[in-house]
Amino acid sequence: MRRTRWILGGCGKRTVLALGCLALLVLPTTIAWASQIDYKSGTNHPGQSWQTTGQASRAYNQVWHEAGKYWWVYYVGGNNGQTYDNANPTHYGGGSGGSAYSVCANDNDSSGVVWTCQTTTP
Amino acid sequence: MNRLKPFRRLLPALLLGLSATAGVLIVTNAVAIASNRAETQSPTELVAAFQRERTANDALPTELAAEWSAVLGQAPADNSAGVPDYQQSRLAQPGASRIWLVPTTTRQLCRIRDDRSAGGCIDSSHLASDGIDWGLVDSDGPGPSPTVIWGLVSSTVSKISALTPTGDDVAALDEGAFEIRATAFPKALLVAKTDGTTLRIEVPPPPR
Repeated sequence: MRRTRWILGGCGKRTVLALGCLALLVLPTTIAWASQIDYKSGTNHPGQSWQTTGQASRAYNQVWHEAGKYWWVYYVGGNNGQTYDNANPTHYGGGSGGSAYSVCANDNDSSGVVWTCQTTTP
Repeated sequence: MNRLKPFRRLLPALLLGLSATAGVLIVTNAVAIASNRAETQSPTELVAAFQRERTANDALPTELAAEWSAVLGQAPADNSAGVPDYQQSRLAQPGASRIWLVPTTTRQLCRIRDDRSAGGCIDSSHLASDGIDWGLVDSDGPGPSPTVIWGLVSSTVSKISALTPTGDDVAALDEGAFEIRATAFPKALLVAKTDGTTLRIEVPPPPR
């Protein structure tokens, strides 16, 4: 008790409050990034798709690949959100809005460059 | 002297062969240089927003810059799009959307949407060859919400429209960025060029 009083007295309640607020701001971002997973990686195989092993609430779904090659990323379940482009990454930034599989699908990438499909888990 | 006689006969053929080889080498080199130039061309050289001076209105909001720095900073080594130069950003506003364009140190161009639905960095390959670099995003997949077709065009393009089962949807175009909120999933895009020709691009059906 005396120790707590010393901390609050020495640093000041405002400092503790500010640190608490900072933690509240930083922690969710850190947790979001920490929960990113690579659910498939490889080279080539245009025309094929890959999905996560289970369903979960997702913050985003994306695939890193050779720029200029077209890919799909989408959710199966939740809101079924999807995007298709040749950008790097092909990135669907919307959440899944519910429990969903994340899927990435190679449209025409036979560049030989390594691709990596990523999403988040809670 | 007589020993050289057979070689004299061969001289014209030899010269012809050497000329032909030199010709082939020159043509091959020229093609290689041209294709290399196309690959390394920056998209900023082709997009209208970068053909004007930058203004304060072009600045990317700090929170979006932080988000995209985090995304791009986690790129696997094989796929790095480079480091974005936010001091060179441009804002384009096709229709109701706001899209920031940010060049990178590897001559790519990152497209950042204010609604955070999609984004990423492109090279110049599609803009240089077709005059258009496009993608689509749909917040509910096959559901009733509009399918958004969006992207960039070069100065060789005058009009873009999407062919859907319910009719044609024409793109809103601003400073080289375009967007179509299609009422149904598009079958194809029609890209009208300033030279009077039209390019048709088939849109693949979603793989589900």
